Amino acid sequence: MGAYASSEFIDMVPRSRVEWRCARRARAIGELDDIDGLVKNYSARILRFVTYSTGDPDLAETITQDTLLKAWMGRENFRGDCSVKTWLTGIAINVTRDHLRSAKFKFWRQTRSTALDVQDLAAFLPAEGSSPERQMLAREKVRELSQAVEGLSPNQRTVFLMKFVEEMPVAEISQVLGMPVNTVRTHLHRALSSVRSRMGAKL
Amino acid sequence: MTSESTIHLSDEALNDVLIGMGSSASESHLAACPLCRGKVEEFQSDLGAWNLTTLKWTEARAERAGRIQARLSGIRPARRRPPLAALGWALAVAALLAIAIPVGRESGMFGTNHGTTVASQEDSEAQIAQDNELLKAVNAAINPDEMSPLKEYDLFGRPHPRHRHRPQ
Repeated sequence: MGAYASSEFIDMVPRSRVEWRCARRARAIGELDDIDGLVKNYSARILRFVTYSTGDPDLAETITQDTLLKAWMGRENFRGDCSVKTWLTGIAINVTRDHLRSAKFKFWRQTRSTALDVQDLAAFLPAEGSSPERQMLAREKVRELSQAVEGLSPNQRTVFLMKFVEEMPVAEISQVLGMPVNTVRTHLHRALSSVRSRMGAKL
Repeated sequence: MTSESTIHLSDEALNDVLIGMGSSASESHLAACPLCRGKVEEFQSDLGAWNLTTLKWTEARAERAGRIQARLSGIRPARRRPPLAALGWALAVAALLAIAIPVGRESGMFGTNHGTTVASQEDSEAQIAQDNELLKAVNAAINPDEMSPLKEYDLFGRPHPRHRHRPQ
């Protein structure tokens, strides 16, 4: 089977799709060009993702900063075949991996506690006029879910966060992580089983 | 897993539904079974509350610390800066140099090049001597007990054999 030359290949793709991708890429690069907007729109989401990936809010801030900086500096490399959010998540995963591999991180992990303060977290639960009992129950669930997510293995936690926090489709998770769809599915199954059992098997 | 409403969804089928990969049989079972639907809705509700809480928490953390914004605020594309600002800076620097150089020459503020070279040469010689002392000290510290071969064979102060009985 002969390989297609790039121009032939482009001709095979419907013109409207190519144009749509180019337009999306141009829009995204415009969005990525504005570093203030990037920080404003995505820093909290990335910070949350990385905080739960590493279990260390302070390290997560550094990784979030590195991720946004890397994205901004490499914005010309964005191909436009996924959303900016997905692209940033992919960068965050790589930056997190680099940090977790570093000897410096291993040293600090041994010498200090990195656990998230779930009591601090529960204080941010919106009250919305519910009764104190319901609020207490909701706080308890948030606390349980946080602990359940923290208890997952790194792979399970990453796919869980990508699916249920970043709301990415399984195919996109597979693409970003370079994992077969079935592997992602298996990690998600294990993660869900673990989370559900830690939450008292209510599901 | 079964589509019958009397037999509920298995854990695996329920997980597939939660990750958005549920089969059509599971979906039709959910439509008919309030118990299984309730489980899915409860998980989604808990997850929604958790997502909202964690997002508010990270927003507050990012805002309160203001670190990310502050660290990245210095990094902006150069082209976004108004060109007039750069031109203004260039003019200000040129004006400052135009005033400072004649004043400096008159007051003898700028010495000759020769003096500067000598000073830097002296500095570098002093630096070399200091470095040699440091290296000696390091050598001594590394091998404090090792005797110098000159000392070991008592070669200090002895005349060289060739020079012993040199005829006058």
